[in-house]
Amino acid sequence: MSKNGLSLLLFGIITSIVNGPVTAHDDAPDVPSMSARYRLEVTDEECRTRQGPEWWLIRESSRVVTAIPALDQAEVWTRDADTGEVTLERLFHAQRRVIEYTPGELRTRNAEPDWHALGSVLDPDSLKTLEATGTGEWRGRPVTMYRGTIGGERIEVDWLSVERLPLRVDRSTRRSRSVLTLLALDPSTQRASDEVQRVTPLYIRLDSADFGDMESDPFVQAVEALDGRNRRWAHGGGHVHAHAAH
Amino acid sequence: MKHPIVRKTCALAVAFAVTGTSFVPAAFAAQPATGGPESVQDWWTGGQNFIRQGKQLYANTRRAKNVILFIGDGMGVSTVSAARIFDGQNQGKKGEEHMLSFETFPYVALSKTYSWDQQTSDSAPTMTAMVTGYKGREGQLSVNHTTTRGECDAAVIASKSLPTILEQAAAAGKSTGVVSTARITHATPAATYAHTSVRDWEADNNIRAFEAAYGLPAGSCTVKDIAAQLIDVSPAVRASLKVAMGGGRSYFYPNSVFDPENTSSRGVRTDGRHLPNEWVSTRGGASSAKYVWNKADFDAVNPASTEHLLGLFERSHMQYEADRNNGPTGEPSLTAMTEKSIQMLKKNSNGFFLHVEAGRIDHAHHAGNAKRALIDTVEFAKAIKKAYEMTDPNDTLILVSADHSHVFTIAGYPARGNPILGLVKEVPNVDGDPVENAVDSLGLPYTTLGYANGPGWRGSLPTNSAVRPTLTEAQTTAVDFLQEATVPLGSETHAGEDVAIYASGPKAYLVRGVMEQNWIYHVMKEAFGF
Ligand SMILES: [Zn+2]
Repeated sequence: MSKNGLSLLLFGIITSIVNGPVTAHDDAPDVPSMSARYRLEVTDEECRTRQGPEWWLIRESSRVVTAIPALDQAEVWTRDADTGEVTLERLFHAQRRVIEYTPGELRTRNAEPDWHALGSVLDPDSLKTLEATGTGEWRGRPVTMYRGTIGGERIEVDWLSVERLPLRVDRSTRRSRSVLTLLALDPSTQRASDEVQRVTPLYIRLDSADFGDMESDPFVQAVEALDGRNRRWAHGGGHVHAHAAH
Repeated sequence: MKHPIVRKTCALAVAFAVTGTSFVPAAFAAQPATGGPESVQDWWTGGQNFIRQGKQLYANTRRAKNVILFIGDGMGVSTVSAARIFDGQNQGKKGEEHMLSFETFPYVALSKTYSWDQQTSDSAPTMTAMVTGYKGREGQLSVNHTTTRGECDAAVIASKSLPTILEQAAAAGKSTGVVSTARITHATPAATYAHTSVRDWEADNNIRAFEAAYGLPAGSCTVKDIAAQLIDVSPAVRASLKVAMGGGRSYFYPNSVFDPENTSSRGVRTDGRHLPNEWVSTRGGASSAKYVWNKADFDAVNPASTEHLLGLFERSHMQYEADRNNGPTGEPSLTAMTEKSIQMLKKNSNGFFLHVEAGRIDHAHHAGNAKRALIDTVEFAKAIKKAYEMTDPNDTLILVSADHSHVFTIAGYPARGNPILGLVKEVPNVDGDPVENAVDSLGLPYTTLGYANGPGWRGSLPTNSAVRPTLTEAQTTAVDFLQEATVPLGSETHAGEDVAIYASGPKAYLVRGVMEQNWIYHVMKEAFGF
């Protein structure tokens, strides 16, 4: 999914856009619908630990929603059942705005996601590069433990193999450590969806293709500045996780 | 300036080879690695042909029966040059000698694109200038420059409105049409039929949101949104406007109605109006008016029996030509839309006015994606060629221009025929040597095409300890490649230099020198004889 092969899809578009397109997994199995709540903790080189806001993943067969309820923001990825084309809507509830990304726009921005990685928080294929060190159980669900090093980072993943979601991802370098932990899992997606997808007709819908002609719009300026910061952090490797903890 | 040739083989200068009657150092006797197919005589012949053709030109002072205004949104001169090379290379040529269809037009001028309040403009005041004869304000459509930003009183907007060449053609009994690959409510096409102080008021929900944001009572803004203005035009324009085709479907549907193609999405209108249905019902009903939203239905439209055609092929902008689905569920090309439009408009013996916009050249540039911009420019040239072939140059004025440029550059000293999307490879210092990548002061290759700003900036990539990436030819020629940009911006920007105007037909000779952009309207008006 990323340059180092194991990027956490903490912010959907953020990590996907900056990491570029990846190969499709047409042979990947269907995954069960699920809503999951995560929290990220980041420890810097001075041993200061910061806890990020809750991060939600809502996964259905043709839709993946990621959300940070504390920021009142969500990203809704939808895949067309016939064409396989993916569209994205970014929801900014506080500003009552929706940004739409058509399939062509995602391609143009080098932001087409790997659908299966999107719904599994991390690219399941990247687990193959790690060593399976044991098995266990979490609330009656089988867990496989993986360990290894990717791109200079030490990685530990406790993987819910049926749900195809991480229970815990621990990444560390000499300078920092980030731990993503699953807080709750729910096979129902309705309640979480209702909470993060409450778009009303008065929301303004923007086509991301129009951003170039909306440079004086304060909302567009703010989004482009945010994306620019995230691009820098993502290109800086683990820095994206530090951002998640802010 | 290119550094002088360093004669790497000077130590071998004593070795001679015979070439004709001259003695040439052997190291310089090899065939050049690059160069065109021309003979020496070809250069002279080409120049003489140009002079002969120029002498045969005469000022066509007739009135124009028809006027077609083609606008490549964001199609600056560098875009035209790069597209010319790109198109030529796709046809197996070196590329540089190639001409896009409109580049063979006899008259060319430069257009100064500043607006009343902008040094570098957006599409709203620039198209306002071209279709009304007056330069306007940033973000405003076909109203004069005294209009207050955000003015939403319909009576005030009416008092500030400037008649457009489309409206005047309608009043003169001509047929009219508007075609774009952008939303048909987008600034450039909208300036031909709509009058508003805010180009973003494309549907009524945008105006309602404006009221809410500024504490105005709901419904207090009486100016109509742009989509509604397309339907609620004056009686003359209603009778005249035979064709309106492009994207922007969601702006025409109420938010209670699902989109016919993207069936999980609804329209955005809050006023309940279903504008495609109104288009049909207010223009003679289904026997004479049609609404289509996919290519199969578009193809099925018989121009002979259809009086009014509304085509809305995407919820927002139509697809880039590089991505266009050409199947029955897809959408027509710009060329196909142009052809169908002219077939319908030609039925009027009084003539017609047609505006055709290649709206997405601009968007691809904003994304920093040159290949999509060039593919859309080549398609634009095809549409112009089709229009030229379908009309009589003696009675049809065709103008081709752009609203503004982009910060898009053709850089370095690439050798003749070097792939325009590729890495710069220079003419080798010694004939017979192969071309090699030119490198920057860090020793890294770089592309011919680039942007002064935009999303292609790669300054922080951790994959390279240098400040630039090591690019390969395969990367840079891919359709999704984003050319490098000097200044990191989320969107690449417009540019302030002049754009070109290309002209053919009656009064085309009036297109000359360096022109203010609003003078384009005056040429069209003069041609029509209004
Ligand atoms: Zn633009």
